[in-house]
Amino acid sequence: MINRLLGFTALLLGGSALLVPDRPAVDSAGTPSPAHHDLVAAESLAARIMANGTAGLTLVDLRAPTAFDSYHIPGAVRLEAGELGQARLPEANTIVLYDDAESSAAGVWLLLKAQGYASVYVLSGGMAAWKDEVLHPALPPGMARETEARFGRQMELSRFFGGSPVPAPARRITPPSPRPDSAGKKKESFDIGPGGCFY
Amino acid sequence: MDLTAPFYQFGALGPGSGLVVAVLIGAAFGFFLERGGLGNGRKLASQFYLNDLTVFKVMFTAILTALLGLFWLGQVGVLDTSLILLSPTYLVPQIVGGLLFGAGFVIGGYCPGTSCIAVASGKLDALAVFGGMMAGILVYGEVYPSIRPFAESTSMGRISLPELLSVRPGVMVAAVTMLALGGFVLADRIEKRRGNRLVQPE
Repeated sequence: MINRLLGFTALLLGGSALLVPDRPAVDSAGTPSPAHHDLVAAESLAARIMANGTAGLTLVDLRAPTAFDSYHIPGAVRLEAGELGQARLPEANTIVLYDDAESSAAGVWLLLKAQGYASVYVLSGGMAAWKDEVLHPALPPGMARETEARFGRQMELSRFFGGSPVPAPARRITPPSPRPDSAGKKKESFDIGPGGCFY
Repeated sequence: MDLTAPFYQFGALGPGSGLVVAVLIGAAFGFFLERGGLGNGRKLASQFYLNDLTVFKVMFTAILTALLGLFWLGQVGVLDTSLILLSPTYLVPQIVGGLLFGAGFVIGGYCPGTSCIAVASGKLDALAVFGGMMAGILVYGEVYPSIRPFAESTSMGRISLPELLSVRPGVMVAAVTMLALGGFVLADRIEKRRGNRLVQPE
């Protein structure tokens, strides 16, 4: 009896969903959908900083103080997730959040979006991607002529941010700072990877 | 109406009270799964022999509850569904991962969550699965740098079924609801025909 009642309720709720027109029911702050739009690639961010500096940009580092002191993206400010409720970030700026992993910054992204910040992004792949793609991009051995231009650009970015390109087989994730034995290092080399959620 | 979620990030819960709530939710989750029979490896494995479809029913009940709940809470303005975070899709690695997960589930008789529940109720087979799971996490973490190119291949970004199929979310909600309800009826029939027996140890 209860099963039938629940089944009927589900049928009613599911069936009437067909009648709902295609429009967002809640428009809290004109926020765009997080799908596809909330990530910024490390290389694009680096190119943006190299071209224009951090004008109009607020870079927020969400990692632990030791990791921040060891290395951070130039111009970044460190904030803990818990401090964001009080912190006032410049609303006109584009805010880019990063953490060791992309997923941990996503929670803060959610919070800032809900607070009404219009332009908030998460660094795709987190700090690991910044290190792999900007600081220490892997260069293919015997580079073909047509790829030279692209890797030339990567090398330029890498040097601008104080990193060094590495040949592909020897690719390593290491911070460029003179204090590589910081607490953050162990964590950086461990990454649960994409879809790192199980139940 | 003000948005109410996520409580933790809005500061409604501090780190301490957040942990207390997490423990309570976890305990309730475990209790209800155990009461639903999902702390029993034989019952779980019977799913794959089509003898007992409890797992299917529990899973689809949860999917349906979350689906209808989120959709209608969004429609009445309680929840901003654009703020829901989607995990990115990596098609081929996730299919391979799913197959591996399924194989482990059939062999071990538990999935990660249910193995924890069965360990809590003192089942030794679950302890073996739990140990294997922990070893697997460790090994995956260690070999991740070398399999990363594969793990990050065939990326489709954060995509939902309505986006992929270019249909309205409401149409997808109705379709999944029908699929689930049809599945429940079919599962009942299969169980009746096969006598609803559990896998027996040989």
